[in-house]
Amino acid sequence: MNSDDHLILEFQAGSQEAFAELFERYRDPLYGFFRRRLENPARAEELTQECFLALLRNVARYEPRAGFRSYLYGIAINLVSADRRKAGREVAKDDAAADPPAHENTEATLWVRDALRRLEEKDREILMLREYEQLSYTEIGGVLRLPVNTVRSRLFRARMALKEQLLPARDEA
Amino acid sequence: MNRSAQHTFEPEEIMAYLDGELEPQRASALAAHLDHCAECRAVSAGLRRVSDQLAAWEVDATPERLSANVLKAARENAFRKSPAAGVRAIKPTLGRFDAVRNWLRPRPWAWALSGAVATVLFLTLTVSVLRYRGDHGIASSHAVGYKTWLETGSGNVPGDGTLGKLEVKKEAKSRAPAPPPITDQRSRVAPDSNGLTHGIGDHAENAFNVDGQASSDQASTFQQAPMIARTAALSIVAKDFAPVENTVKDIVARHHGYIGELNTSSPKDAARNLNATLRIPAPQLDGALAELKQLGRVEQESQSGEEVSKQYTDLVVRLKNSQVTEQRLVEVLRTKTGKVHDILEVEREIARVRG
Repeated sequence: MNSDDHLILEFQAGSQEAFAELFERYRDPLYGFFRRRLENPARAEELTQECFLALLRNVARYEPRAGFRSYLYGIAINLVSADRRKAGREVAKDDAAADPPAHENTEATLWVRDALRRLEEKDREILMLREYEQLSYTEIGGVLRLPVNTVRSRLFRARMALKEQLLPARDEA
Repeated sequence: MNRSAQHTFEPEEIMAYLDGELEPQRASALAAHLDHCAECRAVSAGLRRVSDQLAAWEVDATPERLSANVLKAARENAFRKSPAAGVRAIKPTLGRFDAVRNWLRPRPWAWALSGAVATVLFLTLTVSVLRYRGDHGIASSHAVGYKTWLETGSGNVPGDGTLGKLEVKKEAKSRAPAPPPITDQRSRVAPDSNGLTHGIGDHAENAFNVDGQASSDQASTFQQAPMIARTAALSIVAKDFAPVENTVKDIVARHHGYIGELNTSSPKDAARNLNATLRIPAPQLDGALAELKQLGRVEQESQSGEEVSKQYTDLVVRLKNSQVTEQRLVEVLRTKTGKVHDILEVEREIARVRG
């Protein structure tokens, strides 16, 4: 199986199949990334599309410095930031933990969204990149331009804050 | 949090351990500690519960039309000479992402530097697949990962499928350190209770940070910049053991490296292990790392760097001196006439200088 980094280099060399494979791998994760950060599902879809288009447009300048995932989520983070700036602070606040469709409004989901919303923005982003995008500390540092130690300490702080808010039903000590 | 002073591990380290971000030796020690420390186990359980609860937030399915739009853009882009022009024609609004573009701007110095160092990657990879016979009711891959570490790092071999890892770790630990101008990466693959792949940390980017310390756009500064020999260790659990060896060889060949050492073992009723020492040119490090991580789930990874500027400079100076000496001797041979003995002496000296 070809790695992401191998595929992006193949795509850089002109392989459309390589791009199709990358798209297949990251279509759902990227949509999930935007969906959890934006209230509007249509906007999440649009930004997912823009993210892949940015990948297409910039492939000639890609260099394997920090790994493909850091590169891709770096683009995604920038897209979300630009969108929030555009939408204004109030909307951005609401977008911090998006409203899922009604059928997803389970007790657990609501707890997660509320708990995340209470975190400091940077801590929340680090935690989400770790838990949902499964990025390593170094990848998170690359995406957010933070030292790895800072990522680790902030991640710990965020998790401790969430631990205090554990759902009683699930807190089987 | 009240914790007695006798604990050698901070809660934050326990978190890093669960995330697969703890350095291998430290992770082994922590795994052993968790075996007999209820307080640290409670910290660990609390962190896992947080992750489990966060996992409850699932999102709706990706819209189908997304695929059609993006793949159409990719196809149209393929017919144009410039990828940038193609995509811009399809989606002009992308021009506003200047920050992204700047971030993507090539920085040749970083790679030129790593090439100048002329180091190689020293990598040890161990892959294990467990023939699981127990009945651990693991609900998620997270839980599997934690359990594997606890069991394999403890040194206990309970005989119900939690085998093999301790031996692997000892083997990796006993390896001699890489010689100075070498990047060392050691991978150890821990078996999973369900035979699943495990992994820790995907941190090839550390290399970039190290290289980045010597930042300069001036080629002239390359010689003054620190030369970094990088060392890394990987621990991976592979789901399917059979193709791993050939895949490793393919990856090494693709990155112009070679296998320094490769051992496999298949003990009866225990995990199969593959332990390899790979040497790969420094500029290929990140690519090779990334591909190796695709072999399975990375359970542990660490990287370090050692400055080898002095060794590098010594070699360069010695090489230059030898070349100058050779030129002078050749000149003597070409222009001077004399006794056969003297000519032979010069030729012997040339042979010595050329090595």
